[in-house]
Amino acid sequence: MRANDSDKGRFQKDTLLLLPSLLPLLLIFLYPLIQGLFLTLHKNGASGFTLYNYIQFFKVRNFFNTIPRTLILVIPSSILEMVLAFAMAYHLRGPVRGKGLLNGLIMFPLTLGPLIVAVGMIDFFKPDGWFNLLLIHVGLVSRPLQLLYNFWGTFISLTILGIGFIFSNLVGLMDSIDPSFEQAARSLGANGFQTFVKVFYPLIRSGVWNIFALNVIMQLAVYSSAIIVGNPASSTRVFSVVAFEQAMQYFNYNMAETIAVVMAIVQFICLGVVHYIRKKGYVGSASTFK
Amino acid sequence: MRGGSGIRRKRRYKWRRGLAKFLKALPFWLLIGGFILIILGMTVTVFLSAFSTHWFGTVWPAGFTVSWFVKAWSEYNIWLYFKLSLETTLIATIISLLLSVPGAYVFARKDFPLKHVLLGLYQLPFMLPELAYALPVTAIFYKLGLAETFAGLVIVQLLVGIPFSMVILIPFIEALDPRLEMAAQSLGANRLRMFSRIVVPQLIPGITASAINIFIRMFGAFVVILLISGPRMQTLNVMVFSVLSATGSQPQPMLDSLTLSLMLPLLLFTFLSMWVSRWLQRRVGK
Repeated sequence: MRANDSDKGRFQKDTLLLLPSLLPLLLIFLYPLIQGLFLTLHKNGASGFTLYNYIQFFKVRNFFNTIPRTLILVIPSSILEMVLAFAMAYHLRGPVRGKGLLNGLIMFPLTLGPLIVAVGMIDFFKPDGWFNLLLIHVGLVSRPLQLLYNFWGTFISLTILGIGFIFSNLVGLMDSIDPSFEQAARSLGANGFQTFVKVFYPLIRSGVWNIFALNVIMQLAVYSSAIIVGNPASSTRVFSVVAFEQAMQYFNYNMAETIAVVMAIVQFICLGVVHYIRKKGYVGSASTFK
Repeated sequence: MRGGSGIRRKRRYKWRRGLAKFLKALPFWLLIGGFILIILGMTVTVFLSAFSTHWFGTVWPAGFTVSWFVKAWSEYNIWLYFKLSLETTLIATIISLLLSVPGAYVFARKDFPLKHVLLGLYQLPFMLPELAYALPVTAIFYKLGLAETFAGLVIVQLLVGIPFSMVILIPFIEALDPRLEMAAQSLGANRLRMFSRIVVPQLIPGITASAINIFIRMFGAFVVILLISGPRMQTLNVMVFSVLSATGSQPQPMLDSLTLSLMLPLLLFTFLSMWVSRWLQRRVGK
């Protein structure tokens, strides 16, 4: 009995050690989050609960169009990133000469961040930059492509950063898969394609969809590349652009927070869809019991 | 005769298989090579353009000069913002580690009611758009007078620092052998002594890893800082962003010099972190 009692006392005392990290999080994260939900239910400068902000969001084109504009930018680029990064990671799996250097270079944009990538793009993809000079020299195009200050500018920036992110996660995921599964399939007579479709992919599909979802979450919040290499007045007028504009130019935090909440809802819907796709199939361990 | 043709056939077969393998791998290598070339091209052009006299429509800049770089540093007071970024990030890193090491220990070792809910709370900031909590934080900070202050910048950095260091530290502590802690306690060490003499020394690799990780993340933190920073109180990347978003105001070499000033510390930190993690691996391996 006594031991039990002292155990209980100790257990409570130890849990107190959580407080130093929990209290700041409650104060600067959870409390503002709840406060933010209340903000959306007030008209700017007025008191009393109202759905005015949400009604405005769905009535005013400027606000509502952020949903299709963001999605048409993020979903295609995410799919493209996944395909490209998967191909790269799949090929660089196993022993390849100079693997560390290649991995580091592919993940390099992640280190630099969106701001530096955007500036690098201005130098590299401008009409008289190296990319267009090369294309013209090879003869693929006769006049320079306009890849900056429009939809494609932000699209390319997202793709470069997304490939870095997805690749860095896929490397770890693919390393965790026991190669003896594939060897077994090969020795039983499956060809390379069959091994990939029937053995390798089913083992990592759950992880792949997780990474895809994380990447979509990150990219829905695209801001600096939409401003610097996009056209924030029309084609890349995404959620964050309008939310920042409401907060920093019109000081309408209520509307800005409403946009952020809608953004969170869109994000959860995307997560739900990905989760639904992921659940249809084998979900489990891909490493052998050792 | 028959033997000779057999060898030849074998050789041809081998050669053909080699070619097939090469052709199969070719698209992958083109993809990887192309992507790396674009990334290197972007990085090199920033370097070249920052130090070029002028560069229009040619493969190579017309001439090289450091005057843009020097001008960017003096005109934009880069040193001031760099120092501010470094100071706020360093202080926030230390505070987040001090706050989250005890919490991570409790999470790794103890069971208590609502454990999963609380763990979810620490992970929630990664799952929500940053704006959703950054905007009300800004509104509250302006009300309290914390916005556009040094303390305010440090506090919002914790929003990145605490959740990340928790998530990184918990698996590190779970991997430690709990028998050492039990032995220390059975030999009469009180909990503070056990924690400082047994747990923390074993945890140095984990603490270093999470310190580097959150430092780099906080150095690149953007959304919250952009919202709560004032013209005199802002970090380097927010300053660079404000110059860049006011398009057409500055010549390209100037913008590239600014970007380079942001890129160099990031590269330095990355190499440093790689070096430290390799050093740690060697030490732990022994």
